[in-house]
Amino acid sequence: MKNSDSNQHVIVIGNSADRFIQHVINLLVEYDAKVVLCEDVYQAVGQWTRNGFSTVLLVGRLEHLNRENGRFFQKAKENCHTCCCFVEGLLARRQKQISAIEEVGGFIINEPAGFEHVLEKWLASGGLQPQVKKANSCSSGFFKDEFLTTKAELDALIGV
Amino acid sequence: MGFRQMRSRDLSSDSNAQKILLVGDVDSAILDFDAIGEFPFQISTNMLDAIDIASKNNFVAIAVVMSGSSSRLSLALKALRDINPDAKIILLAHMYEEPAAMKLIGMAANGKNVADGYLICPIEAKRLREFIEPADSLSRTMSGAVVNIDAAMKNKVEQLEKLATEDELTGLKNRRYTWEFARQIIEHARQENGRVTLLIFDIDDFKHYNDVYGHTAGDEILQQAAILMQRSCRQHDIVGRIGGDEFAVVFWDDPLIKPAGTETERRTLADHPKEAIFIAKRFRRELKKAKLDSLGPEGKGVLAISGGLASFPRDGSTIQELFAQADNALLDAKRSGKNRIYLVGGPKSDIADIE
Repeated sequence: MKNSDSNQHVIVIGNSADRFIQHVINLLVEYDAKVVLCEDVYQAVGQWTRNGFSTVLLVGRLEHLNRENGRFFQKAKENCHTCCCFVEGLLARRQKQISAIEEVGGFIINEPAGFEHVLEKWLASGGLQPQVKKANSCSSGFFKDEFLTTKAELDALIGV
Repeated sequence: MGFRQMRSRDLSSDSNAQKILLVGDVDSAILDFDAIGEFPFQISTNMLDAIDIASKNNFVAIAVVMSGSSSRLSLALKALRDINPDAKIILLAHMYEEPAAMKLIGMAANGKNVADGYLICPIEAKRLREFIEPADSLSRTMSGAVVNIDAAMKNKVEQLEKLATEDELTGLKNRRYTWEFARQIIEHARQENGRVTLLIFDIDDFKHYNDVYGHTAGDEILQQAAILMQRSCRQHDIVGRIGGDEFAVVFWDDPLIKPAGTETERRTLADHPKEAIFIAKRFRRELKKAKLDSLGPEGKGVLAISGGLASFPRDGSTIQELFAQADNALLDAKRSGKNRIYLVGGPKSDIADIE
């Protein structure tokens, strides 16, 4: 699915020299998505608030998104935005942070290529958060089947 | 109006009023909120929430408590500056955060500094308000011409601050400043699991030099000791003159300074009072080389000191306990024949015996 809804924005958080970020941006250009590149989560919050973005996919490396003791994920959830974190290396070492993302219904990808799948799902859903099908609501859990698959994949990866 | 009542004050009803955004643990940084007066203000304990709030309101000033703030405070301040470019951004720093505050003020974002100034906290709200809205920075001369008195006033304030915190003779920090700094850094160390070492020392036979060679010689001795101790210390350590010929040095680990070497080496370096012992020994070596003109030809290498070293949390958990312990060790050093520095723990703890 190409072309995003006029209210759908993707905020990419990180350094433009980062290969993962470059991959994400190239893909978003292909999809003709509305993209904003921010160096850090502080800029990202400023961007979505100031510009009144209502539906946002926040993409970046886990270490760049997991700021202020997980408050960034909470803020994203409060605003009905969706997080997609790229985790490189052993997932088991980041179990605590991964749980924080799971709690807010975010996506975790272990390879850059996994982002396209997340983007497709997000665009198709109109940018709603996991299992949010009711208007003006942002309780977590969308794509429950998808979410469970991801969790199962994660468990397999970390050897649970 | 009490602080608790003001905290919940609705900003939306004051759309044209000048608003202040307070970020972080303001309870520990601001002593008296009543003095904020008619300023509507909002508090945010988290930086991301503060950025959110700042995006939706126009603030005349944003005051950020540095303690407990994000380790990436510069990035957060840049974001705040982008959102509210006209707001005055003020850092509320504890004494030990002063170097970090100065560094942040020097950083720029989009051609503007990320912060406009800092205040050492805890402060009275009145001071914060004065900083935000300086009282009549323009003044009229007899002829009616308007002149800017900012520079003159700034100079005056700097002079007064210097007088309030420094010892005039030696240029070192005075007793009040040293005590307050030590108190704050111990509190910080308690929260961060850090360590602090206090050295108290005095000049051996100072009264004798004063009586025999006169007060000019006494002054020269104090000045020399001050210069040599400052030269021996690391830049962030605080050296103060706390009495006639009595000095105190507060050794602490500045988080901005990352010692080189392996993790084990770094841990050993930060081990208190190891670093302090090393510095104290260096100081004594420097003293031996010092030449005092006012003592005549015999003035070289005669100067000696006695001191006591106490560390937090090992030897005391409060500033009072640490000063008392270091003072006791100093007395032990005196009783044992002077010209030595003792660790808390008795005569066997002469630092000269420690490798």
